[in-house]
Amino acid sequence: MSDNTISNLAAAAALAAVFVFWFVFHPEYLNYHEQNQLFLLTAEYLAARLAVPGGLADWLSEGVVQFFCVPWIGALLLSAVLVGTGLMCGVRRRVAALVVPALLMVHMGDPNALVSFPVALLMVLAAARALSHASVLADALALLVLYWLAGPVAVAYWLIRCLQRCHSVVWSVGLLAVPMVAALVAHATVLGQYPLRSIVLGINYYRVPMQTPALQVAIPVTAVLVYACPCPAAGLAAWLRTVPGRLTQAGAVLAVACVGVVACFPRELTELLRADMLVRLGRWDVIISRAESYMPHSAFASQCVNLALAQRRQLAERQFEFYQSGSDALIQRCVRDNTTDLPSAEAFYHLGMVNSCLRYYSDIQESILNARKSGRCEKRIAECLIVNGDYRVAQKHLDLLKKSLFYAAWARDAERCIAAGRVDEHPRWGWMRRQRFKENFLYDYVEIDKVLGRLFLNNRQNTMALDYFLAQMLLDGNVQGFAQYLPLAQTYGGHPDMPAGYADAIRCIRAQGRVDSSPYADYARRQMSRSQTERSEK
Amino acid sequence: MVLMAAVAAVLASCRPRPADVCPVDALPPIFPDYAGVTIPAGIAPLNFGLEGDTAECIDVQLAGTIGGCLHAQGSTHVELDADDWHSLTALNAGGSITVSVCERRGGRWLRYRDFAIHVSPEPLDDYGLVYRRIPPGYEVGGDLGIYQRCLHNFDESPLLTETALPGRCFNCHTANRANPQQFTMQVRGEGGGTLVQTDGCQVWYDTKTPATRAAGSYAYWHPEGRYVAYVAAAVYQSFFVGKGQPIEVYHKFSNIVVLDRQTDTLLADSLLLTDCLEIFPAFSADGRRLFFSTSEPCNVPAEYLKVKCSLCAIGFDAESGRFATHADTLLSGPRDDCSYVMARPSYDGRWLAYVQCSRSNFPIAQPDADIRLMDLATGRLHELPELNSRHTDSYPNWSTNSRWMVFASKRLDGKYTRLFIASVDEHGRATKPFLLPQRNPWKYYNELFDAYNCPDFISAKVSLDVDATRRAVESGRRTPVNLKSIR
Repeated sequence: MSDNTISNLAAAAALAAVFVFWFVFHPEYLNYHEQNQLFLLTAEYLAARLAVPGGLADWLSEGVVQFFCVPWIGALLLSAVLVGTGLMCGVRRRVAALVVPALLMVHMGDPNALVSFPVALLMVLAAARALSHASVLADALALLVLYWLAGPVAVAYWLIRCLQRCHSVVWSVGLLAVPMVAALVAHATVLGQYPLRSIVLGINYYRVPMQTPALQVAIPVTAVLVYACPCPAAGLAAWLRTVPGRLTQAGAVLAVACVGVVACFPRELTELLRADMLVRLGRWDVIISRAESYMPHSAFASQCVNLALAQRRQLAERQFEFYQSGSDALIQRCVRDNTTDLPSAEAFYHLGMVNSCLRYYSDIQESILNARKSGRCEKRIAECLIVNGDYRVAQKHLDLLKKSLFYAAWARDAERCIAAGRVDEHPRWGWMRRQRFKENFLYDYVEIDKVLGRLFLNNRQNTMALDYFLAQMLLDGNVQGFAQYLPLAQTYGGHPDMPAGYADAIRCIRAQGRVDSSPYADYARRQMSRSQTERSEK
Repeated sequence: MVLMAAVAAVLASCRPRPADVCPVDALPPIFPDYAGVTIPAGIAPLNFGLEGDTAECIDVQLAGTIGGCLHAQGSTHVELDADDWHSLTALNAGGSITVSVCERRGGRWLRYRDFAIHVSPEPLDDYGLVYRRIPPGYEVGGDLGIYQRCLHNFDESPLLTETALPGRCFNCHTANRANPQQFTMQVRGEGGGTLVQTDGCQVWYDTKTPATRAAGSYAYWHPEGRYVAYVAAAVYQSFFVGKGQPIEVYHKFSNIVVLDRQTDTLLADSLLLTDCLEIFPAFSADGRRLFFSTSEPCNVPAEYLKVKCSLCAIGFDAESGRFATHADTLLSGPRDDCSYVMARPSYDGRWLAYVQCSRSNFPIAQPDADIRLMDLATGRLHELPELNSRHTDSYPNWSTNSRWMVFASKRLDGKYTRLFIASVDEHGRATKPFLLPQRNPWKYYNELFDAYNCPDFISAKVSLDVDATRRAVESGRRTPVNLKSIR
């Protein structure tokens, strides 16, 4: 086996491993990135991206991320970008170059780390490779162009050139001054609204403005060292090119990747992102089966599992078999971020609480910190507007979605449905129209049980509203209310027998909690202990 | 070559003048609806397009009743040459411009009925507008920003956006009678404060005191520039479950304080710091009265239907910084079963514009909100039917010559507020307002997911040092204010 074959095999293995990592083990990250953007196939969208440093990298990365809604394509593209950085760093020369994609993968364990960062790094490394024989003037021009198209990662190009050519200090500083001056000029002229720090450290590499994770600096430095640093000892360099040397490098990279992944992909976070993805896809059985083996103790997880149980008409039977976070285990008070409210928003959608769904999805979208639209949110917002008959405003959102690749067909279908006046016959929207409130009053989260009760009374075929109404009373410890309205479950719930969960709750209520092996009694005890702890802390 | 050929083909396809036209007995379905509007000479070109996407070509001929003409063609919309347009409007000030629109559809030319655009003899010499653009969401402000826009062309530039101050909310850019050298603005969130900028010098106040309980907002300048009136209020939103109006905005408390910039003192008059909710202050043109709205305290949100604001005025002596001993009720909300808010006196002292709606002290969320006018000399009220719509019309403000009014209206789709400008003559009659012109209006407004609010005229471009603003917000250093209770 030749040396190069080993390197090529290592690169191919890395590509396969990274693909499997994203596609099989962590598709929820792909989903998370995809739902926090809406890539538009318009010249204006490209122009808006190109208006800031790093804009082309950002645009290209969004172009890649839009494919994340087809996970195998998304995983393949992302793997190609990540492993591509290793190839550009010279994996054929040093298998250790794969440490760059490994670190990038670790970096992306932070869901706010954007794909534009690896894309930008790939662009810069590719430019460094393509222009390896460029003159100093060409380097200066390349630096300027790279700074604007790929962003401040362009400094890696400068470092590579300095290490490769050992320029004098004057030349080196002069070369670095090119992007620095460009940043200052941009700040003083067209980018006055951006803090200089963002312009210097990167506007679109991280979803949270004004934050720069350490890996965002460490990875380009590593890439430069791998790319351009000669091996300190000739003997070591020769050994590294041997088969054992290359295998050792591959093993080291694998170790870095494994340690990094274990440290940076915490199970609780990935499970929550996975639950959200499954809610989005409506894969209710998978949510329930995953929760049976592991379920994070959070309101978010409770909401996802309860929604899945309700969709499978198992909420009355099994709710308290699973972790319940408290009164917020079904629907939670509005929180200003781009993720926390998603299960609640989805619950509103399935309940037929159109305005609440619209409100939550609107606020979720506006909470995306890099001010991007969300295809997922836009779609739900358009649906709510259609159900409400606000066709003019809905059309505005459909027009936006029509400019995307993956939402355009759906938007055109929606447009045709409106034009044909068939909204009432639409299986989802027609149903929502029948379920939504006929009366008007102000929504009050404090009285969410009453809101759910009124929703059910509004249309007694809305069994999910009935399930949620009774479940909310159990969560709140409103045993009198539960006992009072339980007959509704027998009349309208469609259960042939008393659901086990309700029977357990009744048994627990009658025995005032003194029952063995009762899931509801366990929940009640946990809640009482929690409130006692909170009181004592106060 | 291919590109050039394509461009040539497109140009050629739309070049022939209409021939064998077939008359259509209807006004052209144009967006924006500029038929019969009154504009000032020198306004940005009133480009427009035809609704729908059936037109192959639009041909527009404009002819002034006094003189001059202009011709334009386009495929989706027409873009009028700015210089020619300005010449035409200047020449026809006091007259009209007749607009003839032809559309080529299915290879045939259709000619719609002509319509007129009236050119007012009253100039609009202000540079432009300042406004806030904000996604019309619910509780999250999103990517909001304060912008300024030249009225004579399409230039818009940001004054302060979310990009500059991530995670903060800012609002109520308020200039003193459209003077760009004197304005105030409120920044909320971490490091928030009240900015007062005069002649380029920024002073950051912390206007929240234990007695006022909130920082100042809904500001208005005293014409002499020494005082600025603010509202210290707690604003909340609740959300309806039905399919009509989505939001009810209400205040749990609201009082008016006046900042004396000379002494860095907040003047808190007990007549404006009551259990009632005093809101939307505005000094009269001569600075001797303060208009404001007030409503009885209610148990909101439960009693949101009971919020009825009266429009009041109280005397003010700028020399001593003291208010009169009693306030006059100009319009009683409880008596008329409605709310009178957002008083905006014209700068010539003749008119008082205000917003009337069935309830609430925050009319932007009320679909029945309309702008009204009071003749301050006679007390006569004008309903302004030409200006109002069936959707929310609010946030009126006056040009420096008090002949033009800008306001925010949801009339286009019921959700997104857009800016309209109308003229008001000496008899209190308003003309049909025109939508703030854009280069390609349909594309611009359809793709804009922001709503406009707090529009105001500015006589010249505003200059704001964004870096200094950011540093001030991040440092949190504030000029302390002394609270001076009066009476």
